Amino acid sequence: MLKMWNVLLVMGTFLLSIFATFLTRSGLIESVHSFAQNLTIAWIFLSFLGFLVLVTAALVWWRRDAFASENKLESFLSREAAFLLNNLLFVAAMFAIFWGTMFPLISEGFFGQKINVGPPFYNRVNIPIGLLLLALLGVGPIIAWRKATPRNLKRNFVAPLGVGLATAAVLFATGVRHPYALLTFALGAFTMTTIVVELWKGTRARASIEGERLPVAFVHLVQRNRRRYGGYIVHAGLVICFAGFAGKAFNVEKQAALQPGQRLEVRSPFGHTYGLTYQAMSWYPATNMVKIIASVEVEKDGRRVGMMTTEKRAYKQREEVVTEVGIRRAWNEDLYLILAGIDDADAVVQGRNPRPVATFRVLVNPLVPWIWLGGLIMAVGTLIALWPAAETGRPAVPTPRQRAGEPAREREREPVMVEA
Amino acid sequence: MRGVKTLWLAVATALSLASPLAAQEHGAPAEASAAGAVPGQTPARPSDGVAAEAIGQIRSPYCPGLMLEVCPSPQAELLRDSIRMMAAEGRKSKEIVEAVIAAHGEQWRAVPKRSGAGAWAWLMPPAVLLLGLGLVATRLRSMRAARAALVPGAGISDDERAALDAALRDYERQEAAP
Repeated sequence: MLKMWNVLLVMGTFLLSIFATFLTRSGLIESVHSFAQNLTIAWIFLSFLGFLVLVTAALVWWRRDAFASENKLESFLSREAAFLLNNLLFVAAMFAIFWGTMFPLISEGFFGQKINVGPPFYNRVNIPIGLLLLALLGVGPIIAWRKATPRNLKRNFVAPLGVGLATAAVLFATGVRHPYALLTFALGAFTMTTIVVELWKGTRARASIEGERLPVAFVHLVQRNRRRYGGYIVHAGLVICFAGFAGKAFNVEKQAALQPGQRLEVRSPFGHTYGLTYQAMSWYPATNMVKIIASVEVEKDGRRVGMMTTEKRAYKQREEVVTEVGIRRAWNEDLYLILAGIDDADAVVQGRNPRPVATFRVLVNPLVPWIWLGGLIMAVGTLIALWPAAETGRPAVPTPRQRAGEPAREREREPVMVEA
Repeated sequence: MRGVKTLWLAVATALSLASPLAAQEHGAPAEASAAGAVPGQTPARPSDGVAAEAIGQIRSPYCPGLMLEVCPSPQAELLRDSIRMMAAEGRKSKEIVEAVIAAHGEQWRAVPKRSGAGAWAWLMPPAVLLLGLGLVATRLRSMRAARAALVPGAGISDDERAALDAALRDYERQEAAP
């Protein structure tokens, strides 16, 4: 089902990537990625884009019968509806970004004033959409096909809802008040519970039927239906990514002007105390630039853990100064060190003052490493889902011709899991 | 019993996910070192949050396409300092943003106003989502009507539905039995 949706989304993705190239190459939108305004390139890209729209529309129209769905949507409380709502939310997020990107041009054209749109707009509009997607991540895999009965809803959703609410209550009781953070962790707990319960039920059933130990049963369960369980692992990775995003609500930032030998302390949301002692400033010329480097000794909870450096790079040709951030990663938080300013940088380069006062900005970003971890888990889940079946060399997702040609008893069957 | 075990496993998983942030929440003041407390070091104050909020709503006049909070230009640092001073005087973030925009120009506002032409920026995305939901609901109703019209009497009666529900309950009871 949703074949037409799939095709339109694929085409939309391609057309929008060409459109984005058009925007940057023509210089119509002010951006760090944009080139200078060039109307010739703009017309070439616009013509190419128009041609692509016509060709893709013609292809879709020509093959429209092949995209007709065999199944029909019967109820909003169904897995089909969850997929559809998922698609709608992604399209809404895509439109929000498209609308924000084009709004300066649209407002100038229609209202005579150029109204710019920055990151806060995209965050405010897309965070609620993202939270709805996170909720659907938990609902979609376990709600019944066609029409969910009250019994199905109760059996599959009471426990995850309870865990989600308990998570929110625990966090609220411990002082977490940021509404989006609370929602993210509660919905993440809800979704992770559905994933864990599904994995547990499948593993237990297989262990019971085949007489295998639980770890072996789990591996065989995943091998028998890589697409389904690989998908669950991808979802788990995405939940961890969302937890990483929510860590932004707990960011800590501090700025101070220090002389060499002086120390700055910052306390992280996880209760760690970082002590940063400014050691020295040095400089050296590199290709096309001069680098000024500040070295800082780092302590964590009173124990020395190493050195960090942060730089100012002065590019000769562009007459531009760029700051390089020093980053220290732990499993639960990142420590950023930024050289915000140097008292008389020229004196440093000329050797008149090798020990200047420097202004440092220190940021503690909790849970950022979980974004990378979640991405890694998603990659592993994707590999599992795409891995071809070992027994007959068939792909994990058989083609329609393969499915049609097989007798029913030869198709892969899972341990029985009846869905009402 | 099985349900209790499942619930326990689920609760344990979820709480292990949530527990790391039970330690401390955003807004807890950063502390200056007792041994190395120095002039020029400012401990975190509530006005720092106001200043950060204001800085986060302004585009940098000195770095094309960048927000003020990430612009490395020395002039941007001076502007950020002046915003922090305004916050320390007790001004709210909205007042600070309006003061900076009045001094530098409307084009540096990063968050459109919710009135006038800027309101269209906020209205369109949820309107598109609601329109999509409305289209799906309308399509669902028309599909149901078409199915009922195609096969007269295809829908089951209330008695038949009750019998089906009872049969499903019996089946599930048998499935759940050890």
